[in-house]
Formats: sequence, structure tokens, C-alpha cells
Amino acid sequence: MLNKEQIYHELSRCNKCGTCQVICPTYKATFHEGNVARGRLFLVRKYLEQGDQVLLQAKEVIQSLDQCLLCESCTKVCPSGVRTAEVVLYYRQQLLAAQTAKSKWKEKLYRLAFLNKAFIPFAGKMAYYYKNIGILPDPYQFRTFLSKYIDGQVLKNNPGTGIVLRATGRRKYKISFFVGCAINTFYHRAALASINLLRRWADVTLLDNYCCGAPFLSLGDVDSFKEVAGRNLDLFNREKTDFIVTDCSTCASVLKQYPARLGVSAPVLAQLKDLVEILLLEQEELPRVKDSGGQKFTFHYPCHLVRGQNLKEPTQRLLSNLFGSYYRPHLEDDSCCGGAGTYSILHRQLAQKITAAKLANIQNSGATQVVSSCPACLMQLDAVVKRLSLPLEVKPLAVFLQKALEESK
Amino acid sequence: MPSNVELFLRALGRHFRADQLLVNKQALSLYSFDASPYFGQPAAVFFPESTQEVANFLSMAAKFKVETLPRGAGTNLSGGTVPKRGQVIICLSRMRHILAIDWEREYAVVEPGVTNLELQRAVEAKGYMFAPDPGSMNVATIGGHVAENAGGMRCVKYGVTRDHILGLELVTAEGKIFRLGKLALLDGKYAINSRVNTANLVDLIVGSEGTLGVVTQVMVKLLKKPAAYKTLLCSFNDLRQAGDAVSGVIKAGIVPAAMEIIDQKLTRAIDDFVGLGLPRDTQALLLIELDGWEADLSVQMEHLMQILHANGVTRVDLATDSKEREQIWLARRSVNGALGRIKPYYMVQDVTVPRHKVATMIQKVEEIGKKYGVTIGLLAHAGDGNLHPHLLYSDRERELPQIEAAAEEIFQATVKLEGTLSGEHGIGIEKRPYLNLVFRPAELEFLQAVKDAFDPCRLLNLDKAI
Repeated sequence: MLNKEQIYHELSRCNKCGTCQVICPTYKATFHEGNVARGRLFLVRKYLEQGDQVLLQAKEVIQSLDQCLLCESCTKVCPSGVRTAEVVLYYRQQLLAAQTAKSKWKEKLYRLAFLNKAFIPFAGKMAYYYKNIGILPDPYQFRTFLSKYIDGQVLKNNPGTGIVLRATGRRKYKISFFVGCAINTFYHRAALASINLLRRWADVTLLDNYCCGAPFLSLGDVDSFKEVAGRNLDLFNREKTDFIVTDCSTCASVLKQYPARLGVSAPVLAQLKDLVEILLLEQEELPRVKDSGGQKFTFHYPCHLVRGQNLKEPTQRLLSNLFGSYYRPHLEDDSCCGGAGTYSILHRQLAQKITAAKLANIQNSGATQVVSSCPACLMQLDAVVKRLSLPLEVKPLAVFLQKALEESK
Repeated sequence: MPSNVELFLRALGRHFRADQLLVNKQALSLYSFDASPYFGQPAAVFFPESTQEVANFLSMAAKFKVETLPRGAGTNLSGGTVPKRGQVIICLSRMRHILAIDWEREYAVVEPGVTNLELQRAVEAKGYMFAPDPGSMNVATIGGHVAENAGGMRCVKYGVTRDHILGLELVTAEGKIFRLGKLALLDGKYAINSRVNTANLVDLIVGSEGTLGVVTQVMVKLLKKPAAYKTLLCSFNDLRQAGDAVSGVIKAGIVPAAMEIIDQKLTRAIDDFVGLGLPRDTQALLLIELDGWEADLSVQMEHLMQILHANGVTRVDLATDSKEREQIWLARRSVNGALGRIKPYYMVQDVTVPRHKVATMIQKVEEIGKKYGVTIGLLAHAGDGNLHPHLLYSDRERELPQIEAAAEEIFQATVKLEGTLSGEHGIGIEKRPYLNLVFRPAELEFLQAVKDAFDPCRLLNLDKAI
């Protein structure tokens, strides 16, 4: 995490040119200066220079910094390379520290949910019953939302942790599979597909890991982030496999940031790979699916794949090589979809506006399927596709790929 | 007793939705600045969504005698959109519809909040472009282009915004709506008014920096995109040599689309951003782009190379493909923003001198920088004599007096070389104190009379430009 001086160095490089307006998803949904990097940097700078506590209390200021998606698009277009996401995280840290115990419900809830391995599967189960029983009220149409994702199944109970799933092809590696919270509960089918893909080359074991820490990070709860990261690192250090792989781009990106954020060296993280990286490594082994019949699809590049891990170009090449002209890029295909973890719930209206803009670009590409590699993106895209009744299918990368490979056999 | 502004805001509250009005102090501070070094807290910000709303707003403002000013994306470099007098801002960022495109007659009608990039994207598939291309074109609005008479890299060949505006819809300070120039409505559709024989008010409004009225629709000319480009990066050991090369090119009858001089400091800053591998050791980089038909370009290239060599060019790199060309222009357009990499604050000037005096002016700027101990990054749209010396500083309080003194001397040197204060950024707050360097008192009085004709109650963007 950056300290006050480093943050000031970031802030002082912003000379208010406004270039960030071109890409900031929140700006493009509202056209308001409070919703763009330039404005957010201005507010945090004012807070640092004047030390005015009002800036930690005023609703408008908090909202401006709360509504940043942390997508880091602005840093990419910023001629001075200002890392706005880090500045926003710094502010959220200060905000959390200044809050009274009573208003820290979010922090408490997050600690309960993400520091406790059993909580999310439990919550998943409860959601499953809620969805099926239907006695309780349904103010936000949660039930329709959940019915898409929740089937009472949890990946970790499914193949089980600690068991070695043997390679189906020629074994080259041993892989530990990092199970992301959202994947575990909402997308266990996608994870099973990922594991099956990996088993083409490797023995796979499910890790009994903790949350990667992304929710703590975006909340500004550095202590909890460090706690959970430390636990995961201990776990990784005990692993004797060639790679630790996750099919959640967010987890992969956050895990890779551990050394920089904790200020420790962690050589074990050299083994940590996004599923995409393994596919890239083994792309010669994957059959071409070019000639198989199929519909056009597009890929939504999650923030944590593009800016978090710098994997856009390789992924693009992989998809073009495998699918040829069935793969259709869309305009701004690496801009944030508005999902961003709990953002889509906490800032529901704004998030849906952002997603709708994204979906318009997707439809203009002529694709009928959207593929992505981050559960938060998938859920958000799918929810808004349903809400607007668009003729689009949203699919996790592993599921899509496995089906395509089977069909082209 | 509530003030006029309070009464006005109450009235606005009754007329418009809550989300169209910003009154919170902290939120308002976000509209206290643009891309210039000036600040001023507005009394409120109003977001209209139609011409009629602008008109209603302005007629109410006139009734309550409240001062207002229009704003778009806030990328202005001379302070024209900063509410120094605590005005109420009319922020046009939500009026961003492209209302019509006529491919036969080659024009588009857009609302003022449409950005240059959005317009380009809407027309490029059919092979068209809107010629003005200021550095901020990705975010700058067409309304802002009109207000500042924006230029850009291509204006050597294509001219400035004024040369590309066919007509306007203007709302006056009293809330009256007028269609000016060729913009007409025929059977509910936009059409070219071919019987224009009134005074050319469009040219008067373009560049008036929001002091004469609020533009709510703009009819712009569309041009066919050139078939081919040649983009050259030429290195020189001396900025003046680059300046001489520029006038040599023009004298030879070659009209490149753009000729940009970038000094070493700025070259390094933008190369840090785009990572193109620009020649970092060169003292002066001259960026030239020829456009037109492929066959013409190769002939022009031969002459161009001769002129470059005669002026001591040390290296010429030609962009190999369209991607590299785009990267080079992205780098060039990013100069202002990339200055943060060198020093946190800057004052950018916009002086313009006759083309053959560019080299002399560069020398003057260098001397003035040395004299005042000010770091100056030099950038010039050299092809049309427009120089942007960037005066860089770190400490707002301590260094500003020197910066201002150096700036004033640069203005004086410009006038001595028969130049003028602004090429494309506008007068705004920044250059207003120096107007008497280029206008006689009688001329200034005349400008005030024009202002009175449009805004008799004196409410619209006061103390700017004139």
C-alpha cells in the first residue's frame, strides 16, 4: 500500500487535463466531474492539503470516491500515469479509520464473510433455500437473480479438497487449483470445466484456500487484507506443485499483488497463474476449432485480466488462433462492465447503466455470445442481459472453451 | 433577505429535476477549475438537456440578474470556464446527441456536449472526418471547439474550427433562441439554408468564449479522409534549425497536414508515456505529416527530404504502419497531460507569429527562459506559426511571480515580431491583462459594444476574453 508521501506524488502529477473522461465508465454514465479520475484526485488532494475532516464526512465526497470502480482504465490513458485507484484506496483507508464503530457494519460483514472459509458456502446454501422456499419477501428480485447461479452446489464439496484428480492426457505438471469465493459458490460448473481443461496436462488438487482479499482491498480494510493474504501465502508455501492456478482473473491479479502490497518477497507466487496463462502455454496442444460450426462470440476482458495482469494481447491472440473469425472484438472490450464485486449491489443503478453501455458495444459487434473470465463480470453482464431481455448468452471462458473443444472433436 | 442568487436557485429548483442542479459546496468545488491554473467556486451548476431548458434557464437568470457561464468538458487551457466571479455554471455535458448527418451534403448537426472523438467515430466508417483535432480531441466537446475556435495539428492545411462551422443555434443571455448561418429546419428536419445573406454572425460567435451567448446546436462540415499519409519524425540538433526547415517547406509550396516541433524535454516525457522509442537524444523533433493521394505524396516526399537535409536534419524516421502513426499522434496529443511527469504545474502559452519568424521566436523564448531561470518546454504547431511554450514550475507561491514575468515578456516579444497572443486556446482569464498589447483602446471599446449588443445586462461569462 502506498504511504501518504507516495500518494501525494501521484496526486501532484495530475494537471487536470481531463483525458480520463474518455475512458472512465462512471463518467460516461453520468457526465459529472465527481465521477471521473480528475475530480476524485482533486478531492483527495484537497483532503491531504487542507487536512479538513469535512472531506471525510461530506456525503458527496464519500460518494465520489465510493463510486470509483478501481478499474484502472484512467491510469492507462493518463499521460502522466497517475494511479488513481491507489489514491482512491488510500482515501477509503482514511475513511474507514475515521468512522465510528457503529458505521463499520461493512467492515464487520466482510470480515465475517471473507476471513471465514465456511461462511460463503453457508450463505450460498441459505440463498439456495431462500430461492426455493419463497416465503420471505423479495424486494430486489434476488430470487430470479439467484436462480440463475445458485443450485446448492459448492465446488469444494464437489470434487473435494485435498484429493488428487489424475490427468486425463499426458501428465506434464502438478497443479494446485485456487478456489475463488464467487467461483466456489456461483460458478462451480465453470470451475469444473476449468479443472477438466487443466487435467489434459496435469494432476489437479483443490486448495483449501481463503478469499484472495479483493473485497477487503476495495473497502480500504488493509489489516484484514494483510491477515487473509498472510494465511494464503502460508498455504502456498506448503504446496509442492508446479503451478497454482485460478480461473478467476480477479483472484489471480490480487494474489500477484501480494508482494507489492504486503512489502514482502514471495517467490512462490512465480508459480501462480491465471487459467489463461496455462492455456497460452499449452495452446499448441489445443485443437483448432475454426471450422466447426458455431456462432459469433466476443470476449469481455476483465479489468483484472487486462490491467491487473497485462494479459489482453496474449488472450486476444489465443482466441483468434483458436476461433478465427468466430471471435469478434467489440468497441472498448477492455472497459469495466460495472460488476466490480459488491459494486453492482451497492451502486446498483450506476452499475447497470455502465453495463448497459457495455452491452450496446457488444451487440454492435454482431456477436451473440459474451465470454469472460471473471465471475463478477459474468454475473453482472448476465443480470443486465436478462433485465433488458437482450438476445445474448453470457458464458464463462472455461465452459465455452470446453464445449467448443468437445464439438470440434 | 435572500440574495438574487438564492432566489434564482429556488426558482430553478421549482423548474428542473433535482439531478439537473448541483448546489452542494464540496461537489461544486469539482467545477471550480478546468485544465488551466485558475480556480473559482461556482454558486451552482445546472445541467440542461435541451435547447429549451437552456433558454428557460437563461431567461430566468436574466430576470434575477444572476451571472452565468457555459462549460463543456472543462479542458480549457486559458481559464475561460472558471467561474472567478462565483457564477452559476451551465454545464452542457449532457447535451451530447448527434442530431443529423447528411452524407450527400457532407455536414452533421450535433449538440454542444458531443466530443470530437464521438463525432469522428460517427463519421469515420463512411470515410469522413471533422478536421479540427486539438490535443484534447478525445474529450473536448464541439461546443468548446466553437467557444475557443480550437485548432489542432492539422490546421496548417485544414484551418481552425471557424473554417468548419456552417451554422449554429444560439441562445442569448436573455433566453432568445436564434439559428445562425446555414443551419435551418425544413419540415422538421435539418437542412442547409442556402439563402444566407445576413451578416456572418457565425464567425463572430466562433471564438467568443461563451461571452455572447450559449451555443446549443452546431452544424459542422464533414471532409473526406485523405487516401494516404506519410508521417515523418525528423531530428535536429537545434530547435531553430527545425524552425527554419518549417518555413523552407512552406516556401517550397508543400502544404503538409501538420508540422509540429517538440523539444527534448517534452519528447522524453511523452515517450515515457507511450513507450514508442522516440529519438530521446535529439534536441528538436519535427513531426511532419503529408496527406493526400499516394502518387502526389511520393513527389512531395522527394522535395521535402531535400529541404530537410538543407536544414541540417540528422535523422528521419517514417511511420511504418497506421498503428505506429496513431501512436505518434497519441504521443503528440498527450504533451499537456504528460507534463506532470516533469513538474506538477505549468502555464501554457499560445502565442502565434508569422511563419517565417518561428525560428526567431524560438530563440527569444529560450533567452527569456534563461533570463528568469524558468524551465520551458517548447512545443509548436510550427506550420502555422503557433507556439506553445510550457512554463513549468513546482511551487505555486514561490515561483509564480517569475513565471508571470517571463510570460509577459514572451507576449511582448511576440507582439514585436508582429504576432498575436492566442492561436487556438483563447484569451480567457490568462491573456486578458495583455489585450492592450494587441488592440488599440478604440478597438477594445468596439469589442465591448459588441458584447453589449448581445448581452445588454452583462451577465454572461464576464471578465473573460474581452
